[in-house]
Amino acid sequence: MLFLGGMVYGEIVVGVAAAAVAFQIVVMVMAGRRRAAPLPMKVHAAAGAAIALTAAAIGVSTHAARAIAFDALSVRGHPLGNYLGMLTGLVGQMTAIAFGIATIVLALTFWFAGLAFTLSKPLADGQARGFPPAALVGVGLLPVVYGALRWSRDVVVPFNTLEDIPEGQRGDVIERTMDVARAHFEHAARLSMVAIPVLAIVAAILIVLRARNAAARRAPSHRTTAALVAGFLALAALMFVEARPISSENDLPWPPRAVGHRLPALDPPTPDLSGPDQVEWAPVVQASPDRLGLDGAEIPDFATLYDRLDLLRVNYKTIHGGPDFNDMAVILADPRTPMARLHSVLQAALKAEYHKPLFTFTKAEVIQRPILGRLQRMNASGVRVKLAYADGKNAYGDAAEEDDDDEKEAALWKDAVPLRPGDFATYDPFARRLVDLRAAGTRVVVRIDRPRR
Amino acid sequence: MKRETALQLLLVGAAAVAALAATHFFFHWVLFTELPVRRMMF
Repeated sequence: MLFLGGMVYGEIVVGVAAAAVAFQIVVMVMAGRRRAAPLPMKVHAAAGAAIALTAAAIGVSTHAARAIAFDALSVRGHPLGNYLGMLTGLVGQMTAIAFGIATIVLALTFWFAGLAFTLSKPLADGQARGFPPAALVGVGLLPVVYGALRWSRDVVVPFNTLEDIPEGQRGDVIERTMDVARAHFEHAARLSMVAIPVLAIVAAILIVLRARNAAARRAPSHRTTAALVAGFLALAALMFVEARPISSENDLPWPPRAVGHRLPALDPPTPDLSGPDQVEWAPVVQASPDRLGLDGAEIPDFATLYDRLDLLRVNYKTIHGGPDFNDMAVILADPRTPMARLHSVLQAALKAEYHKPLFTFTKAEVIQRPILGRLQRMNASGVRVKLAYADGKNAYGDAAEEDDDDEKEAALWKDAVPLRPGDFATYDPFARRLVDLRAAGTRVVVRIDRPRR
Repeated sequence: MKRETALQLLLVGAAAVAALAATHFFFHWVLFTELPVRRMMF
């Protein structure tokens, strides 16, 4: 695929557009320098067709870029490939739209100038034709065209500064940017919707006034006018039909954006609960009655789970430096998991220094979109707890509790209610108890037995 | 009213309808660009 300035088939699009603009200039000069009879209308029609061809090329390029962006959504493999595809698709569309508007407006300006020369020249009967007042209506399109140009700039500019924005806030910034850009664009479209009827009324008044004037200019033949009327109405019908699905997709609001970090793994199904605490970037531990997993990979036993968790923490601290570590492990557990089994998971987590795991609950959310169809997402929320050994001693067996938190953090957990996994048979009632306590504003410390050496 | 004037008025009406349809279509066609991003954020 050819790219020029970010446009898909960029070389072809630029070539077609440049040829079309050059053609308009040649026609304009020919029409202006014509001494005898005016330039035949067929020449202007051909020049107009060249502009239509440019518009078609822009359309093809934009749709190809659109396909790249949608393809990027369906890639479930490499996250960077996904991101690059999305970026390529977006830049491709924005550039094609902005370039298209600029060149088509330029070409139309030359086209109109050439046409004005021809129409102002007298025919054999000594009368000039003059512009049909209906052409005034076209001026009403300027606001929406300007709006589109401004929209593409409004959307692209913040994308370029995303690097400076903390990762957690990027979604908000993108969403706000798109909402603001859309509001401006809507305003511009409304302006066109008002300007067009107003200009049509002005054109009608001009026609009536000219009809009263005895020295009226020569009007186009009835056949040409009738053909133009039919052409405009057919074009209007086509555009209304084509706009229907895309307008219904654009007009249907989206549900609020999912909060918190997205989970790399979604199984096993968890208890059907919601917690107040958000998912952060952390290892995802999966537990069910017969399987153990970490970030989607199978784990054979609890010793391996400890090894991997320990390695992930050490790696994290090596890369990011110590103080940023969030102490979190995301725990996705099947409601039928025996608590004895989950107890072993928690032992591995605490031994690997994940002091504050998040018992996480996933809920599927399904929506139906006019074009995109059925979409599903998993919303994750949870209850964050603190893990501590039941003997009240820290990891080294010292009397003081393991607590390297700052004072504010320590105060948060001061009145935490202790829960013992051994008091529950399976995960389901334990999870419900956790949610009840957190819903009442209470924090929970899960007290577990020290693993035997 | 002369037939020619009527035809000219009809042309203005048709052009206005086409321009309104073009505004509606163009607005939504351009705005559709943001759909992959909206989808990504869902």
